[in-house]
Amino acid sequence: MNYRRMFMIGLSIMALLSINWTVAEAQDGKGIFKSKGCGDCHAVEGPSKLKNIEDRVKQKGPDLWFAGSKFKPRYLKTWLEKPSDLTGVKYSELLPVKGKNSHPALSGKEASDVSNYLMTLKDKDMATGIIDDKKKMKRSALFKAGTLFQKTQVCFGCHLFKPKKRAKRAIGGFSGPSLVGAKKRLTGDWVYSYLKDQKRYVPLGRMPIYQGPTFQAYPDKDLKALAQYIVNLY
Amino acid sequence: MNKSFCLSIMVISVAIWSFSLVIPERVLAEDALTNYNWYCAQCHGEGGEGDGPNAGKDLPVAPRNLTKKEEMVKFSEEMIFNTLTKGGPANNLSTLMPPFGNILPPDELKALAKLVRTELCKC
Repeated sequence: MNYRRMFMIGLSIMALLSINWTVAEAQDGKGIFKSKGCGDCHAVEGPSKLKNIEDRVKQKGPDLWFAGSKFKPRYLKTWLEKPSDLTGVKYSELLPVKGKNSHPALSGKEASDVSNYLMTLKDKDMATGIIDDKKKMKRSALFKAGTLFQKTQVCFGCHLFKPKKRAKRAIGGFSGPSLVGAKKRLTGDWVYSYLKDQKRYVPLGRMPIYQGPTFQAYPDKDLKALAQYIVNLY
Repeated sequence: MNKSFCLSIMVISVAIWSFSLVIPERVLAEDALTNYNWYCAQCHGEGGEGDGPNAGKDLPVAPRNLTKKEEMVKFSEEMIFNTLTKGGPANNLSTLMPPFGNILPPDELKALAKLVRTELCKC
C-alpha cells in the first residue's frame, strides 16, 4: 500500500469520525435542551398552530423548529454562552428590557452541543441556494434595497440597525428584533423566505405583511435584494 | 324511516362537513382593543399618546398622538381605515405608518378605526 492511498484512507476515517462526533454532540444537545426545560419556552416542532393574540402573548420564547435554516452556526453557540437582548422590549410584551438578560447561559461544551442540535432543526420546505450571503451587492441594487429599508417601508422604525459599518451607534425602534450584526446571525435564504411568507414562521407577529391577499407590495427581485441587504448589515 | 328523510340527513351532513372545510384558519376575531395593544401600541403607546417603545428620537417622524383631538379631527373613520389597510402613503401620510391590510380582515380594521375615533381621540 503506498503512502498516498494510506493518507486517503486516513482522511476518510477522520471525516467519518468527525461526522459521528457532530451527530453525537447534536444528540447530547437534544438531551441538554430537554433536561434544562428549554422546550417550555421554545417549540422545536412546527409550523406553529397559534390561532389568536391571546395565545401569542402567552408564548415565552421564539419558535426554534426552523433554527437551523435561520441562524448561522457560530452565532448560536456564542449567543448561548452569552445571551443578549435582541429587542428593547420583553418577549411578547411592550415593557422595556432592563438589566441583565434573563435567558440562562450555557457552558462552552453545552452551548456547542445545543447549537449543533438546533442546527439540525431545518424547515425542510424552505428553498435554499437563492441568496448568496457572501455575494457583494451591485451598487444600484444596494441603493434600491437601502431605500426600501430606510425610506419606503422604514423597517428601522421597529428594527435597530447600523446604517454604516463604522457607525458609532445603532438607530431605530425596539419592538422588532435588532438587525445589528445580522450578517453574523441570519442566513439570506431564511430572511427571503420570511419576507415572502412570514406567517409560516411567526403566525401572529407584529410585523406588517407586505406580500398577501390585499396587496403585493413588492416584486420578487426587490425581496431578494432586501434579504441580501439585511444579511449584509453589520 | 323513509328514503327521502335519510337522503336529506345525508345532504345536510355533507353540507355541514364541507362548510367546516372553508372556515378560515383564524376563527376567533380579535377585539379592537386586543388588536390595538398588539399591533399599534408598539409605536402609538398603550394610551395612544404616541409614546410606544419605538417612539425614539431616531425616527424621522414621531408616531401620531391619537388622543390629540385638534389634529385627529381632520381624519374621518374611513381615512383611518384606509391608512390602517394600506399604510400612511394611502392618505399622503408618513411611510412609517405600515399597512395592516394583509394581517387583519376588513371588519377588524373597521373596528380598530372606530376605536381610534371614539375611544382614543374621542372625536
